[in-house]
Amino acid sequence: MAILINENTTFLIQGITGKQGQLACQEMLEAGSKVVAGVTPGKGEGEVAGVPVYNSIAEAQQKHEIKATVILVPAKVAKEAIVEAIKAGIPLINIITENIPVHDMAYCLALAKQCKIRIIGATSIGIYSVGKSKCGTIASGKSKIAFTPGNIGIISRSGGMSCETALILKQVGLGQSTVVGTGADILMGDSFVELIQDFENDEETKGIVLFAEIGGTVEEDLAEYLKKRKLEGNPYPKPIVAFVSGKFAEEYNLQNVSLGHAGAIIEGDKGTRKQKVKLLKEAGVIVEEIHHKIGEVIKNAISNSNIQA
Amino acid sequence: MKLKEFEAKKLLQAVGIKTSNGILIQDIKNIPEVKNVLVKVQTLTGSRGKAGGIIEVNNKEEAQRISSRFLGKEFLNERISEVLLDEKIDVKKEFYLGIMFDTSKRCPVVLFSEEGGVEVEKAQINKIEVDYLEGLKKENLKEIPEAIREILIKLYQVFVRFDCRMIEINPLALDDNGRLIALDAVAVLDDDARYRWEINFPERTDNRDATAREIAARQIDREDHRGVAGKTFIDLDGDIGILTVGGGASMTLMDTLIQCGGKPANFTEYSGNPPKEKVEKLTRIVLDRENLSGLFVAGVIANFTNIKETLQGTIKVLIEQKTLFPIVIRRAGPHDQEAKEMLEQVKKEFNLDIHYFDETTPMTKAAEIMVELSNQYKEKNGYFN
Repeated sequence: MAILINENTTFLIQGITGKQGQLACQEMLEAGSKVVAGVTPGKGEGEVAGVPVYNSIAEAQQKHEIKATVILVPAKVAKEAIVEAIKAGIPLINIITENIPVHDMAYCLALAKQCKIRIIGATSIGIYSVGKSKCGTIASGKSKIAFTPGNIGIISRSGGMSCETALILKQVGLGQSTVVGTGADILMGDSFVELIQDFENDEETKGIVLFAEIGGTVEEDLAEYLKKRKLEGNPYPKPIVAFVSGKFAEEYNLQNVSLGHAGAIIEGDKGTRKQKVKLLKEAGVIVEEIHHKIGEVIKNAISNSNIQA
Repeated sequence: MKLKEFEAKKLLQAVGIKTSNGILIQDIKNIPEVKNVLVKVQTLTGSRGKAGGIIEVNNKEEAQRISSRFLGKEFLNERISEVLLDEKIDVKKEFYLGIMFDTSKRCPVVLFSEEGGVEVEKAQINKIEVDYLEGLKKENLKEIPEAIREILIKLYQVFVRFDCRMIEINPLALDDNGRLIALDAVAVLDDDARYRWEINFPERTDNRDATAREIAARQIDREDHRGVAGKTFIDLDGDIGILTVGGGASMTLMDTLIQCGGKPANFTEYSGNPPKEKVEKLTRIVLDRENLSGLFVAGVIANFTNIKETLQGTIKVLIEQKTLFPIVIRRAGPHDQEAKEMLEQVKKEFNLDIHYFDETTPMTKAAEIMVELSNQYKEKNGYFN
């Protein structure tokens, strides 16, 4: 099982001839991903690491069935690439590109919603169904030692912290089913609410770890969703542990400064860490204050839920 | 990037939204004959009115006297370089209009209130979601007074055309002659779209003037485009020097450090395999402080950053300055084995108090160790007396 992608997913890489695109292609193939085609407008010939390159998605689709696409094009042309993918009907779009203007994302997200296409990102590090397949730049180079197959789903707003979180789990003997980097922009594709529903239906996943952050409202949305299910007598069945970063930014009153993530800026009084932690706890999420203790905490939570079951 | 009032009003004027007439003054010599105008201090911080930054004056001399109180001086922790001499309007009613993105609905939202002005936080606010593909249409605004619909449609044009993250008119005033006039405006533009902004506004990163160290750090990044180092640098008043790596990781490291009682002297980060010269320069700025009790260099496992080379930049400065405080390094990635050997050798040869950890020690555990060692160092050197 696993979520979003597995050993049968066929991938397209948009921007395959760029430096990052070539690197991602190589790393994805090494991880066992079926990269069937690449697209770079105007450079539609030849191949990258044995993967054929086309001028357009339509051209690629004449020869290949494509289940997911990875966006690795420069920010200025990202909107064009994403719109092309949506209109081609590729069901899953994973956007790695950073610094895409928010109005371009607003357009793409609205179009994707209309066409029932799933978007993960932008500013995503990728998706990794460990041991099966991956897309994006997640688990590249040395950082692949952090990941190991297992039963924990990870959803992370930070790319780097998806790796560190996997490493912490590994150190207590836990592996991962799927690791998803959602990115942390103010407008983004699927996040905690959608992804925990995928994990709910995934038999392989026994528990979920979230790396959350100040800014935005995805944590608040998750809390509201979980509370609603509890009230309806249908509580979410798997343990969820979260780490919410941003204590420093809040205590030092740096909320208006971007400390690395665009979405970590707090607009108005929404998105404060205190509020997120409070709401998540009320909704039944276990919030851990020290990141490296997350491994033990999720381990205990899973064995407790096994006893209850 | 946030705009000042006079800048935000330019956006409104570009689509034909009527604003109060103002004269921008940077030098009191340029103040003309005036009567019954408001001197409005141009700040990035809100609530300047409550803080005494909007003052009515009746003649040129008064305008000069009041303006000179602010120009070139500090107000609300900002250095003021402009005041606006703004026409005073007799207001019958004030409205609030705003457009921003709703992160939860993933679309723009229009906000409207019949009770605009300084107390808008407490007012009843209408919220209307906008389908980005359709844009804002009059049909979406049935609940809004007719005359204001048109202004909202124009405001939405501003929102899209100028790549705003948010735009607000507060208040939109109804005057005695039945005209609707924007008296004040706030706009935040999307920095990621800077390449296509129609108007080039000056760069700013925060509400306050940068310190010399902050300016120097940003300069490092501007001069050399290989990797990122120093782009974000914030001076703080603690005693542990910080060189963290990567966005999410940096925040988590700082969280842990303060959670354990550590006091950072700064915040900065580098990423994307910067050359050792860049890291060296950044290290110099981090260490340009008195009474440091430690240096913390940490990040997640690097994909492609050369650990040995980046650490060489830092080590060079530590050797030069013969530092005595503890240095906690948590790094892993390409060439980390060679880095480890280098650090062991340097530690012996130059008597530096280096504590190196690789991926087998959690990143946040290293932060805890940093705080412990810093406390021991301070105790030993009488910092607590």
